[in-house]
Amino acid sequence: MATASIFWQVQQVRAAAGLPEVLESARAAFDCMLAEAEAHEHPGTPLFPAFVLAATAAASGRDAVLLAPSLPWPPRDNGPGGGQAFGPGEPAGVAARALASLCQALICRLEAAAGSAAGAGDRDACRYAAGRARVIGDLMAWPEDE
Amino acid sequence: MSSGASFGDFLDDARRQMAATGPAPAGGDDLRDTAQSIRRVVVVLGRYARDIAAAPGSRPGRRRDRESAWEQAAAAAYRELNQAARRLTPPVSPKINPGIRPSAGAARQMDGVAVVLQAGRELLDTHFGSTPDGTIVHRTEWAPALSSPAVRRALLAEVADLASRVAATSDQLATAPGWRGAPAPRHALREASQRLRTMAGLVQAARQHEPVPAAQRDLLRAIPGSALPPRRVPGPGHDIAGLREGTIVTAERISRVAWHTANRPAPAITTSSLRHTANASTLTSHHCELLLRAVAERTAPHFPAPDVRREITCAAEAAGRARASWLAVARTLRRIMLETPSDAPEPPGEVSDLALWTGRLTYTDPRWTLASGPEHQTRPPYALARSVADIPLLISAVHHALDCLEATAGAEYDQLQAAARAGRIVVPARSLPRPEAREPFAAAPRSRITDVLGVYRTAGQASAHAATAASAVATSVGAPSRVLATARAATGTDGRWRRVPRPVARSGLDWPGPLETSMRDLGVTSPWLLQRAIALDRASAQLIMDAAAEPDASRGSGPVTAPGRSRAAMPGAGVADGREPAELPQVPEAGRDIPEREP
Repeated sequence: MATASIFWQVQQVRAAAGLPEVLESARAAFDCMLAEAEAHEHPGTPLFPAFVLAATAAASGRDAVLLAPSLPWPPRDNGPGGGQAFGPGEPAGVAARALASLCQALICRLEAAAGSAAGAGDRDACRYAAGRARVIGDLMAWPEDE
Repeated sequence: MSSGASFGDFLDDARRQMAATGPAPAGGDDLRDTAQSIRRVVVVLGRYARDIAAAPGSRPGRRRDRESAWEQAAAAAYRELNQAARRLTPPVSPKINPGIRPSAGAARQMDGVAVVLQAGRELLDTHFGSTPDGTIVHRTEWAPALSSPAVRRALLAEVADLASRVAATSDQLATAPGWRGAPAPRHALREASQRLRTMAGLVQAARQHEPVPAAQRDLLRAIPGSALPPRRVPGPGHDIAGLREGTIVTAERISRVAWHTANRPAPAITTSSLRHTANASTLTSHHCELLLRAVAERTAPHFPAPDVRREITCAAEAAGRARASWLAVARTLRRIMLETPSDAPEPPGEVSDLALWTGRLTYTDPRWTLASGPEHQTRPPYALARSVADIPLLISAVHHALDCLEATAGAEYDQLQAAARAGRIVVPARSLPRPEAREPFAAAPRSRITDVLGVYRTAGQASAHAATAASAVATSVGAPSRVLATARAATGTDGRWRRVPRPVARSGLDWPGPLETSMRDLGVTSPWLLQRAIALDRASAQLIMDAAAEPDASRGSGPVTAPGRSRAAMPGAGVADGREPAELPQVPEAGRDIPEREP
């Protein structure tokens, strides 16, 4: 359920055309990651520290994108579950892998946007947000054999 | 405490040197030299007594009872020590002022005592400073404890004990045979000895009237110098002892920063620094919980009484509640931002250092970092405490860590309050119920500000409870950190979170509520179930607040805003959620003890 929402966000990020759409999809993706990471902030799991840090990094990434001058406003709907509470979720490892794939898509698009954006505000926002996505991706690096 | 020198080391050294006083001088000039060395010790003791009687840095408003036995003893001690020093002061004469020459035997020992005691006094003095107009001010978090009557009494008791030892040495020298050639110094020594005994007797009388608890003596002895060790970062080569020491030093450094922040204008906080601290505090309290659970397991074979293990388990549970409350802070902060100047300083990162130190203690991976991901195992209990002697030391490290989290919550609560007053708190407009705002961020509505202050207050209370629980364990197992609780009690800072007024939002609730906490403790992670728990917690709080708003309900003195009150009662500018303005709820300043010199 939750991973379906994340993969929907991955598709949105990949399909975004032009800076405003990239920013819009990134904002929704960070909202989605924030909600998903918070859903797994349980001290009983070994990923507890990683999800705590990832959730905050997602909030910081979202804030950076919100400050980008080219972000369309008001925002569109987030899509299925994006930024909202999910139903019963998957195991932490599954969610972590899904989030890692979303981060990869975000890093790719945001870095490209940072390189091509005309305005300094947009460039800074994209660069910072890409950095946050990289932090989350590193935190969510769940071994394949788990 | 960290392993640096403390005041107790100087006391021990002085006593050791006094006990090792060499053979009686042969007579003549040697006796005069020895009398002068004893005088130097008496002069230093007199300076201590003067400090105690004057109570430098005492807090205003603290009642000084001139009639109390201890106040009288302090004044009399200073007077008697002064008189003793005068008895030993030689008349000015070229014959008995032979200039500087090496002292020998007893004189050398007593000179050493004077030097050590003076160094100890200077160590205590490092905790005080003075303003350009000469007002004595507190420079560190230890200064209020040092100024407290309880610790001053402990210090006076130490001075009296030293004075009685000096008196015994003086008597011994004055009555030693073969001194016929030096009647004047012998007489002076006898007279000085008499004064010193009088002084010690007065203090003894005060002790009988009101004894000095052992905890206060321990606290005095544990007081370190004001300089803290430099910032440290754990390396892969640190062993358990090194990790414990690093945890304590880092916690002390964070406590110092929090103390300064609470007492002096601090640089503006930033969203980044707040989030950073909340994350690190969540993880630190999480590690403390894991460490305490490991210690509880390890304790069984060493402390057969079940009470100790139960106490440690309670402390672990308290640390778990602190973790849950800091997590609530972290979550709340992800939904607000602070408007800060572009040149606002970056967070120093020492709170993260503490999470790192405690994490390295908790996990087996010597290269563990906050970003290590899932692959890390916790250390087995026997690896954390290989012998019974390791248990108090590990408890000390955990106690220091939890204690500094309480201080951190206090400092950030105050700074956030100031930010709210300045209208610097904003929220993503999208997160508001009616996001018609034309900008991505809008001024935070009152309910959001109340929420964030509420979660900080809860984190402060939970951290305080965890520190108190750890302190009880520290006392039970004889951990060096037990003096932290004594210091708080001596300065009256142990009730900080009980004094903070309780602002209650219309939907207000201390996060996490009891149902949410129970769900999380049960291991429930489903956002759907947690949302229901949160909703039920809020409904319960609403019911309580509605009941409190009933005309017949008795109210406390706190500025509680009842839910559903007329909006007209909360004036201010409208914000994007169409509700109340971003006005700070009535949150009076928590009682602060601004240190000033006692008149």
